[in-house]
Parts: sequence; structure tokens; C-alpha cells
Amino acid sequence: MVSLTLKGITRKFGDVTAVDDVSVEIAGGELFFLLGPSGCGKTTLLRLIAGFYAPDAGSILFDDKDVTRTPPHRRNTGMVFQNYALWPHMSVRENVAYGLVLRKVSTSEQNDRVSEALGMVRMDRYGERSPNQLSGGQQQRVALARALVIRPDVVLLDEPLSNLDARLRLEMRDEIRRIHDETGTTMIYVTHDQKEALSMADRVAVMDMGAVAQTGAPRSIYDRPANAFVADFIGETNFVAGRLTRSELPLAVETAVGVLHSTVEPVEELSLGDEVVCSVRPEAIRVSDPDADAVEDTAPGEDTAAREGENVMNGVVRQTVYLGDHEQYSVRLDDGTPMKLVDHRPGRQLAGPGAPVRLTCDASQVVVLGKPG
Amino acid sequence: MPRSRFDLSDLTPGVIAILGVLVVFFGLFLFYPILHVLLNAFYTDQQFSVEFFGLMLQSPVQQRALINSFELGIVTTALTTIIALPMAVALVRYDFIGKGLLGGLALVPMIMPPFVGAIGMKQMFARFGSINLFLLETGLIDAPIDWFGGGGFWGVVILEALHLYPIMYLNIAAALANVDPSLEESARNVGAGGFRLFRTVTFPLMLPGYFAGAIIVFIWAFTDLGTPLIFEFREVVAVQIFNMSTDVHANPLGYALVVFVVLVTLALFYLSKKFFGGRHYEMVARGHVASASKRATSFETVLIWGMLLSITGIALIPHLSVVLTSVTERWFMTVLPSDYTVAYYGQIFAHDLTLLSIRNSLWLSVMSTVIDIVLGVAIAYLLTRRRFPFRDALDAVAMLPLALPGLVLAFGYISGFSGTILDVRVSPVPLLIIAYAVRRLPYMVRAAYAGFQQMSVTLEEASMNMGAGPLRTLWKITMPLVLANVAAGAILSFSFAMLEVSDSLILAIKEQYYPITKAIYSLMGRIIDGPYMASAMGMLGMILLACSLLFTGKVLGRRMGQLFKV
Repeated sequence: MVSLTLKGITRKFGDVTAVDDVSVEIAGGELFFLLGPSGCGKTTLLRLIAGFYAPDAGSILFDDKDVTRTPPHRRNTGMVFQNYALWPHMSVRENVAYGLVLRKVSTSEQNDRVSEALGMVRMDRYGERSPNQLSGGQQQRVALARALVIRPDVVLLDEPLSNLDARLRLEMRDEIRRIHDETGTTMIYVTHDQKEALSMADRVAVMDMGAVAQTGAPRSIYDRPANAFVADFIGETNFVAGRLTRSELPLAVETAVGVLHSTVEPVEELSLGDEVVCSVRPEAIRVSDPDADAVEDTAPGEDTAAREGENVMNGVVRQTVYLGDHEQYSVRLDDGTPMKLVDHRPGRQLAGPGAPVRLTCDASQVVVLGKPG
Repeated sequence: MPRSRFDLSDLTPGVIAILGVLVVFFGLFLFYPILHVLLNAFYTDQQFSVEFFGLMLQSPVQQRALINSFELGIVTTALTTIIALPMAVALVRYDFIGKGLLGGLALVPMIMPPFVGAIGMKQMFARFGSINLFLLETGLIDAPIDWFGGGGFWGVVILEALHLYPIMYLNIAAALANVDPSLEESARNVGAGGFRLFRTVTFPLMLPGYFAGAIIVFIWAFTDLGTPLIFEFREVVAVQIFNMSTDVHANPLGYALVVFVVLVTLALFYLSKKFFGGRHYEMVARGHVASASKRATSFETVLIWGMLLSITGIALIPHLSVVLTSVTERWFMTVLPSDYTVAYYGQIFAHDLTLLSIRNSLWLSVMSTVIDIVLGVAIAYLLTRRRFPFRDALDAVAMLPLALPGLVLAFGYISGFSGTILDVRVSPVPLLIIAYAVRRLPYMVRAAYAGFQQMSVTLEEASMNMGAGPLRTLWKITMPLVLANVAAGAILSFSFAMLEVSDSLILAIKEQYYPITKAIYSLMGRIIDGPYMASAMGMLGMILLACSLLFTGKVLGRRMGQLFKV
């Protein structure tokens, strides 16, 4: 199990900085994700680790060994390419055995290890086939076996599931996770699919414009995004803009629809009076009839909600979309801010289009973030 | 992936070494000879002068030659367009029974240099040849018709058109196929249809492709040496240059003529770049273009079959005439030969001149093909896999020989290397090999380029990732995967080298070095069995080229057309 250290990696292509001063520590045996929108530099970073590019600045360490200038064929990484990159002039077995032949492994050991690797990806019966005779999912498995069979220091996966259909993608997620757990190999997995990352990763680095925006376990990234980009990119969220009026917990943000409170410690450093946004996940918002407890409404400015640990916003339903297992509501707050929310047990419609609603959410569900540049 | 720019780290020693070899090769064997001709044409006695051009334009013979050559080029280009355009539309835009067969047949005329066809055609269309005799016997005419009126002009035009229309067809078809159907669909969508659609959308989009083909055809006809020689239509630029190549030192007029040809060529390319340079409509890179062809109705099928069969039929007349001539025992004042024999095929391998020429051609072509494989693969590899400065320049230089008449190159070699160890009077072998190699390099580059392009870079990266170094990756992964393309390009280069006309005629001075084409030409001078043996030799060449074109077509498929484009 090899750990990886990336120190201040920068790579430019002409005037474009594809990777900008990235530092990441990846523990041995970790299933580590590089997640971000297309063009964020995640694939470039992976190719830098594989050695296909050399960084303009910074260094790459496998354990304590500096491999920054090591050519790709001496790095002992196993890469799974987005298009699988199986060699069409070789059989499945020959594809998988290629790396072992180069490592001068004895023929009998080659056979054993190829069979073992093909067995692990459940392709043992297809050894004599040509890659062209395999489906996309099967090619994917062979590519994985080829990367694993050399017992690489680190397995690099470049959007491995992006060419598969939705059902197969779900299946392969479990497969890759299983293989990771069985082999215990350090794996770095590049994807733009946040669901893939959230469901599989030990840890995730969210990348934006060449830089790492946040690194952490899926849960912490989802629940405590470091900035507005991460909050927006991971899952869905609503932003309500305002000004920070209390910088100790619980935070208070004065917005056009009233004061919102948050009990979540912000990752970014914020100071009193900063322009901020409050991120509230759609599933954290509850809907109630504004008249139901109108009696409790007190004069504006009084801190009712904070006392109850609850934030209140008023708005009007614009549209609802019923999807069987859940129902989506689009609401426009009184100041015009759009809000999305989700009812996960849509037994009955909570409010139809045009109906005024009262939205409530717990202060622990509100994350205060610096206003994005 | 941002791969367009290069940085210094891409300039590995290997890349620099290859670029160095290429610079030397092209510098010595492509640019130096042409420059040498230019300098000799403009500088006499250390002084700049345009005197020879004056001489050239004053001489009535040269005037006639210039006019004739231009007429040849223009009429041939027009004729090939008329033949090829409807063919291309039918074969690209319609689906019908036998499409593959007819599409293949359409290319058959390419398998023979027109000057070989000319030998057979002369037999058939002579004053008392088969056709006139047939017409006389059936009473359709009273006196023999002069088919090649104008001193052979029409004979040359017809043979060249029948030989060159496949090149025009391949270019137009490729251009048509590359017009993204969605562009036409969107035009239909806004209400343009039928001829209007063709005129306003399809035609403008395919125009650059058409001109690429037209320029090749024009230059080919303008500078073709073999066909006018056989028809003894001597007042053309090519024949004049050929005559003067034997005394380059005494007569400077040859330089002026060659320079003139170079200028015409450059002007054509300049014009085409100026008008179409920025307009590359090819959408090949977009991957598979949805099929834009529609099923032909039965009426359309009949029309298409009729058209294609009659074109191919007519185009095959020269070939048939060569076949007939090659097996003729006696053919005098009769429509068809009165006695047949296969003796000439045997004689080819017994006769000193022919046997030697076959051996010479094989040896020269093999050597030139080896050079082409090495240089072509290296160039294609650099162009597709590496980033380096002056990439476009290398691309252009490698393609230049397609546009450069063999005549010009050969003349440049004779004059530029005279008195050096490469002097053709010592031995033309090195320069013949190099001339063939330079002339056929574009086919090799294109074929290999297509192979590299079809092959995803990740296949090579995966190999390196598995632990294979660059050389092993090249050997185990890259080469096996582009092998078919390299083989196709090599075979094509080889066959065209075997049938190379102008440089063979000019460079091979002594009989012991004659390649096949020069042997055929010199056989024609022999009264008795000359034409028959020449035809038998021509047949051999045809069979060779036919097989290699079939193979190349199989490997390259639709990309075949790209081989013949500038």
C-alpha cells in the first residue's frame, strides 16, 4: 500500500493553467476521488501522476520516493482509461499479460496471475476473446484486470464508467469498490459524477479551475462544503444572499427575507459584515401552511426562529414536479430568490402552484459561505 | 485535452534527430534541385536576367508548345469534371444494387499509365486501325477518319481524361461525403431543396475538394510526358523539356521552361489557397458522419448503371486495346488481329532489354519504397503524435511532391547533381531511387497518417503505463496497429514507382539502367514487334498496379480518396 504526496503541482498548457499549485496527501490503501466539472484539471492531475505530463512546478512522491521526473513506464501505476484502451490486436489474456511479460514474470506465474485478475473482475471465461467482441462493460472489466495484474503501487481510474449506460454504471460502482476492498490497493479515481464520488470514495478532492477547492470525506463535503462552488457542485442547494451580523455560533445572517441562523462552523474565515450566502439543501426545507401557526408570528426583527433553532422564510409556490418517490417544489421567496425543495414522501401535495407557503429549516442545516467572487 | 501547443519538453533528442534527417533529405533532394533550376534560369554569367524567358516566348515552337500544354490541361480537366461529377453524386448519394462493384470498376482506369494505353489506342484508332476498318467494312464511312485530329491532340486528351477521371472522382466523392448531412438537412429544413440545395449548400461546401482534384488533374495533363511522346504530339512543354534535358549544359532554354512549369504550379496552388485556404469544411474528424445516401428508385438504378457502365466501358477501351495488342501475332488491315499468340509474354523474359528493365524497376522500386516507409512513417508519426515547431510546414513539404511534376524534379536532378558523385551520366540508380521515393512519399505519409489517426493515443499510453518504454511501445503496439495502413501505402508507392514515367525517361540515360517504362518507350521505336512487346510489358504493369490498388482500397476504404488529394 503506497501513499501519495503531491506538493505544489502546477502544469500549464501555453497560457492555460490546467493544474494550479495542487497539494494533496493520499493515504495508502485509500480510494481517493478527484471530482470536478470538465476542464477543472482533474484528468491532467491524474496524467501527471501517471507520468504522461511533467509538472512545471512541484513534486510527486510515491511513499518517500520522488517520481516527479520518472517516465511513465517506470512508475508502476495501473491506469484504467476512459476509452478502456484495450489493444485490439491482442486477446483479452494477452492484454492482461502484457505488463507481466514486460516485468519478466515466469510463464506459469503469468498464467496464474492473469487468471486471478480475470477472475477478480469476473471475466475468466473470456480470456481468448478479442476486445472487439466484448461489450463496453466487459471491456471495462478487462481494463481493470490489466491495471490490477501488475500489482501497481497505485491504480489510476480516468472516468472509468462514463462510457457505460446507467444501470451498468451502478453495477460497476459496487464492483470497483469491492475490488478495492479486496486488493487494498491505493486508487485514484477521476470523475465528474458527484454521485459516483459520494457513494464510493473514502475521501474526495473537489477541484475547480485547476485548484483543489476542498478535500474530505463525502459526508463532510456534502454537509460542510468549504465554499459556494463546492456546495453548488456537490448535490443541489439553494443560496440566499445576505450579510453576516453575528460571527459566533449560532451565526446570524441578515437577508432580504429575514434573519437566518446557522449552527454550522464555517470552513472559510468570515468576519462581521461580510457579504455571504446561506446554503440550504432542498431536502432540509420543510413546507407548512403560512396560516397554520400565524399566531406565533411575531413582529419582524424579533428572534423567534433562533430560539426555536429554526429559520423561517415565506414565499409562493411556482411549480411542482411529481416524480413518484419524491416531489419537487419550486418556490419564490418574497424577495424573488428562487428555492428548490423536495418532499420525500409525497403522499399528498403540500401546496399547489400559486399557494403561499412558509418554509422552515433547522439552523444546523444552514451553511454560511463567503459570497462567490 | 490541450495538446495543440508545444513546449520545449516535447523536443526530445529522438524528435530532433528525425527532424534533422528530414530537413537534410528534403533540402537536398527537393528544394536544392528546384532552386538550382531557378538560379540557372535567372542568372547567366553571374547576372540576373530574364533573357531566356524572352527567347522562350519568341520561339514559335515554344509558343506553340505552351499553348498546346495549356489547352491539354484545361480540356482534360473539363472533361474529367464532366465524367466524374455525376459519377460521384451517384455513388455517394444513392444506394443501389452493385454499388460496391461499380464503385470499384470506376477506379480501374487508374491501373495504367496513359502512355501505355496510348500504344494500344494507336493500333485501334490508326488511319487503318480496327475502328476505321470496322466502319469502312460496315459501310458507315467511305474514307478513314482522322480520330486524333490536331496532330494527336485529341488522342492525348482522351487518354489522359480516361486515365485521370478516377482521381477527380475520388476527390469529388470525398468532398461530397465530407459535407455534413446535417448541414444539408438544416438547409432542407429552412426550405431549400433539389438543385437549389446543391447550388447553394452542397456545391460551395465541396468546392475546395473539387479544386484539389482539378489542380492535380490539370498539372498532370499539363506536364505529362509519356502520352504526347507516343502520339508524337511533340509540341508540348513536357516533350520540349525532355528533349532539352539531354543537353542541360548547352541549352539554357530547358531551365526557363521548367521554371515556367514551376510558376504555373505555384500559381495554381496559390490561387486555390487564396480562395479556399481558410475554408476547410472537412468534417472527417467529427467521427462517423451519418449516411447521407438514399435508396435509388428502379428508374434511377437503371440510369446510374447505364452511366457508370458506359463510362467504365469507354475508359477500358485503351486497356482492352493493349491486351489485344499484347497477344497479337498478325494484325494488319483487319478489324481484330488475324492470329493470336502469347509469345510476347515469353519474349519479355528472354529479351535482354526487357528482362533487364524488369529487374531494374523491381530493384529501384523496392529501394525507393523502403525509403518511403522509413520517412513516411516517421513523418506521419511526428504529425500525429508529437508537438513541434513548424509542424504545418513539414506537412506541406511532405505533400509537395504530389503537386510537383516529375518532369521538374528529374530536370532539377540532372542539372543540380551534374558533376557530383550522383551525376546520372555515371549511374542514374541513386537519383532514380530518390526521385521515385520523393515522388511517392505523399502516398506513404497519407496512408500512415490515416493509420495513426485511427489509432487512439491512449493505446500507446496504456502500454507505457504497463511498463513498456517508447521503443517497445512503438514495436509492440503502434506498428502492429498501423501495419495494414503502412503496407497499403508501401504497395501503392511501390507500384507507382514501377510505372513512373517522366523521371524514368529523363534520368535513365544508359540502356543498362532502363526501368520498365523507358524500355516500353524505346521498344515502341522498333518497327516489327515493338508495339506488341511494349503492350505485353504494359499488361504486366497493369496487373501489378491493379492488385495493389485493390489491396489499398480494401485497407483504406473511404480514405482512399485522401491519398490523391493535395
